[in-house]
Amino acid sequence: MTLKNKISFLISLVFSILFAIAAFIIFYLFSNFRKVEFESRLKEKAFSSIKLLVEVAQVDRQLLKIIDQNSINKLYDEKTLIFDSSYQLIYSSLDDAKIKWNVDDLKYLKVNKTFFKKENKYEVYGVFYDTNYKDYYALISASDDYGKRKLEYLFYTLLTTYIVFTGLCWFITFYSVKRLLLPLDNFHSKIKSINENNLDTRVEVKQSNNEIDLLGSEFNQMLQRIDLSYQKQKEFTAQASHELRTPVARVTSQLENRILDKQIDQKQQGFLKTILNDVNQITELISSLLLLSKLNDKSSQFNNTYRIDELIYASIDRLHKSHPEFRIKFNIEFSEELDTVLEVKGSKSLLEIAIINLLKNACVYSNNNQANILINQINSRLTVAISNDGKTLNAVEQQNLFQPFMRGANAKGKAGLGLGLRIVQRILNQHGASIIYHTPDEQTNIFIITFSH
Amino acid sequence: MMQILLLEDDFTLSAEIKLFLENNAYQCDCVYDGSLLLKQYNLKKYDLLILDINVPGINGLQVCNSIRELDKHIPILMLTAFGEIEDKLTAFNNGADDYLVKPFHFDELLMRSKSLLRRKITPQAADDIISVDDLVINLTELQVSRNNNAINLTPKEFKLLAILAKANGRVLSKSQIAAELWDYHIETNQNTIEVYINFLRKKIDRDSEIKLIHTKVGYGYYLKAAY
Repeated sequence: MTLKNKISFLISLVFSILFAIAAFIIFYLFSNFRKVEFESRLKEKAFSSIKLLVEVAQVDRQLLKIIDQNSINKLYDEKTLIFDSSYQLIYSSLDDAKIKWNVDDLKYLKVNKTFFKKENKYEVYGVFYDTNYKDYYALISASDDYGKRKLEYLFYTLLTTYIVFTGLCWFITFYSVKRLLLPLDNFHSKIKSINENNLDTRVEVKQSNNEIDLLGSEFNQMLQRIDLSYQKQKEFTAQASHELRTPVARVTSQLENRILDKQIDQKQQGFLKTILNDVNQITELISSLLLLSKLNDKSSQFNNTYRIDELIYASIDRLHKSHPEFRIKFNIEFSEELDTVLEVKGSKSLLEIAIINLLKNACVYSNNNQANILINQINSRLTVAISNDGKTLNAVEQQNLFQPFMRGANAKGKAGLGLGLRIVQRILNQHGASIIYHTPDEQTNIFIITFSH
Repeated sequence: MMQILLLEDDFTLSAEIKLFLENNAYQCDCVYDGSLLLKQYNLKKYDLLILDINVPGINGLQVCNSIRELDKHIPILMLTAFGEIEDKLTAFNNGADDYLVKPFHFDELLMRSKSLLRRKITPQAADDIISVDDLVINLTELQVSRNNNAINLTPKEFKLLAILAKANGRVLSKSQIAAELWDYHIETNQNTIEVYINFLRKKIDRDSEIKLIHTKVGYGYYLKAAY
């Protein structure tokens, strides 16, 4: 769960719980209020009934019944029972009405004076009335339909309000948090797109004390420092490259001139040629290490599109200049969309370096100084297979094939550094392409490059 | 004798280059800083300039830029240890004709120098144009158009079209085409020729009613307007 969703969820949940507690308290208090109010109504009724019957001489049981039947309290479905001190029923408001009672209830009343209890849908109030002459007990039962309807109304009002406001609370919280943290999203997407090629990118920040703006401002400063050190590193690489290459060029030029000098005897010339070969190897090592230090394994964005067949021809031409003895067999398998599939986005110079390395390896480690190239389209993907006839690699060598300074048993007696395939793999990775090694038989090595368009 | 002016601040390297060029029948003068080169350039007529970039005084790129303002045609070969593509582009943008990264082999220096000098000597030929129906092939500017619409061909496709066009309607077999299309160190099978013929047909003939590239079954291909 994202932080944004977590915050929204927590706030909404807390508010939902608080709303629910508030609604419950309101309902509970109102429910108690109704009960107390109804109890006092029944109490009043009980006392007035006893008083009318006992203290008013003009009111007899029949008259009291008529009063009861016609009073407004009939709406509450009231029933009244009055007992004398010997627990004899002396008055019942309705003949067919039933109030469950027993002597224990009356005895309880004598001790506790009053009780209020619930019996099914009726609430029963009991009271002990003590006069100077005689004791009386009154039980009055009624159903508080008005109060209950009010309570029910309150319940649905609270429930509806709760659902509507909770829903609104969730929506507003999620929306507000999303709006508030939108700069953080923009910040994230901007950071995500930053790589070594666009270290000059800066995130947009406003002049405020907002934490996100402060973070953005700090991030920009950090990026500036990284950019600066990256530039310094690049400058250092360039300077180091220059400083290493010039003395090597000096040695190479002196050796080449001495080798061409006819006054120098053949034995010395052979000796100088050996040194020149070593110097050439150092040159190759310097170039390879510098190239490796600049390449990374991540896929990069390239804007220029090239036809892979043309890159291969250019690579063959370049290879031919330094190694005229190498032969290349080049074939393309036809497919309808081939001309489109042949187009790859990338860096011309880097791709040529990769192809030259593979072709050179294929020729050097072959039995006949020949490399075979086959361009193919497999499932809308472009594959370039570079193969040779020569000693193949064993399983352990195959595992470490793309590791730096790795040289197989077939490299015995052949000049090389073991950096070529590492460089090839890094260049191809930068182009979103992959390379695998395959040996269909004991005398064939194949490297298959696959470009994912 | 061709006159070459070399700007290189490393005395040993400068002396070795001078020795090598003079052994190959060139006259070479050496200077060690940029401002001296500009002075020397005005004293004598040179056929080729070889400039190192990182030199004292005015650097090689600024020198190249200044020379280009004086002479648009003199060939300039940059010679430097900076091998980045950006460095090469900067050099070309400053008017260089070619670029050689240190350390280099003298054979390559000689080959590039000869190539630049040859380009200077060879007078600009008039445009060599072949037309077949509404297809126009400019062999000098390496441009192709059909019905006045430019067609973008890769170098290999252009070379194949030029081979067919130069045959003037004659049928060329696949092996004849292959012999001209690929250098001797590249070997291909005949399917590859078919692939490139197919590419060309898509670009040249697909949008036109009149087809120009034809197959003579069992023989080969020819370029002709067939009504």
